[in-house]
Amino acid sequence: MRVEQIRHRMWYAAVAMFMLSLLITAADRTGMLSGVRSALHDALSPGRLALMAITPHSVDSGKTVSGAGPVRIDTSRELNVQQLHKMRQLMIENARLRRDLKQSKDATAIAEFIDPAESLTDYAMIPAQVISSSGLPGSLRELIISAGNSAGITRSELVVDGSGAVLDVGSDGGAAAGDRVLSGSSVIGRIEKTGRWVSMVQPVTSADFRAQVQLLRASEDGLHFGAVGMLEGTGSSECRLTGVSYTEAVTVGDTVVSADINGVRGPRLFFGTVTSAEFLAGGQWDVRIQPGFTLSELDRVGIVRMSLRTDVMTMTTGKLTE
Amino acid sequence: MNIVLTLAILWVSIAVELAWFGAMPQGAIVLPIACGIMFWMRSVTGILVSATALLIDWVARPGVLPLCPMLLPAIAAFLISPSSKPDDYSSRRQSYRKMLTPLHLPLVTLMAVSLQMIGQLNLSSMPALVDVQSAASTSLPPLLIISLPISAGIAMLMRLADELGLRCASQHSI
Repeated sequence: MRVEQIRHRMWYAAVAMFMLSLLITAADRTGMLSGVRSALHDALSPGRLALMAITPHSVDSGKTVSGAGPVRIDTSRELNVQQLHKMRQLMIENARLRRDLKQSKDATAIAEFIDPAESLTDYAMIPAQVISSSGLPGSLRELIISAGNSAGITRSELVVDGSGAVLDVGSDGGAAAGDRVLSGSSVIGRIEKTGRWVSMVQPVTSADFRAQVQLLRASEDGLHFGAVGMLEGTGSSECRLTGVSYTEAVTVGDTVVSADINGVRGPRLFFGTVTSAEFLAGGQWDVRIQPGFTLSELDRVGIVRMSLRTDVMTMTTGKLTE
Repeated sequence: MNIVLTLAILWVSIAVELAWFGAMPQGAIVLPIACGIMFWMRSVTGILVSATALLIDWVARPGVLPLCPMLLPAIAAFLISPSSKPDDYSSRRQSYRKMLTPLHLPLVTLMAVSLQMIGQLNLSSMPALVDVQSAASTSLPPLLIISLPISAGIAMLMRLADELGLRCASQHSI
């Protein structure tokens, strides 16, 4: 074959690749590649996992997720993040104590009421590494993490910032049964699709994201839980809050925390901060929320796993049979 | 080069970058290896396989635009001289263009890295010169520190393979 003919074929190949790249870009913009992306990462995962296994310091190895206490972090930046999370934890705990105090004052009965659903649930955080993220700084479009079906990840589980940790306050800290909290962590999104080794995360800013949240406000009297509403993604870098009654008070700077986790009352997770709150003519609030995570700092995440405490179930069953 | 071996090398290079996501800049290994395969194979197959791998890498880790798979094949088609024989280094009187041939691969790698950086910029609005300079000063050095030595290593390996006669492609693979 003549050299010139081969060169012509090379140019044809170059033009074909250009056209194919354009087509793939258009398909990506329309969201047609989500399934392909997950399958691709699964196909690449055996090599990635083998390499991570032989790497001396695996990314996830430094993270201790247990009931023993917070994660030991070395760098000063991560220390600051940890302090920030600790502050959020204290804020949430403070508000919880105030609410509990008010409830106990209002109660006429002496008997203690224990929410059976809360005491039966247990929360843990499964660590995962971010493999790929797309979107511009400030607006996360898509996130792929290194945990899938093989790690027991299921759809719709919440994904939080991996800098936080599962904290077991314990009875020494005055916590009651069922008070195990996952605190300080910023919610990034929810598991949208799981592969064998990877999962795709739907970020809180996605137009399809919904979560029930509650406002947390700092006042002169301390911290108070405010209105409950529905946090919705807008497809841009911010979220909006809907379902807040016009009689409720909303102010800029209010902290937004989770009201429940997949319908079950559980630990409070940080969603973001109210950046604008306008009272519309129709008698509704237009509340905008800035999510609490930063895309550039996302390298590790955690998946919030809710499970039933089998030991409590056994004990309860035993008491009932007696 | 055997097509299966080529695919395996590209697959491993993408897996390495995924395994060290965060610790290694995106494209630091894949780009020089893809460029190296194009220049090693000097054929339509090499260009297609490498560009497809770059496109797959973009699908797995999308940016704003896949500029590398779009434009690198054209750059390679412009610079590569298709041949089934090893490059001739024996002639003492070489043309100036031929003397620069070993630098083609690092040069194309540099172009690929630059395209990768431009592909990550927000092109919805015309980026200001300050933004481009800022992006170049922050993202280019860590990429080049890894990719240029790999590229130089592949260029030397190609020269060695030429000397040993290991780079003879069959007519079918062209």
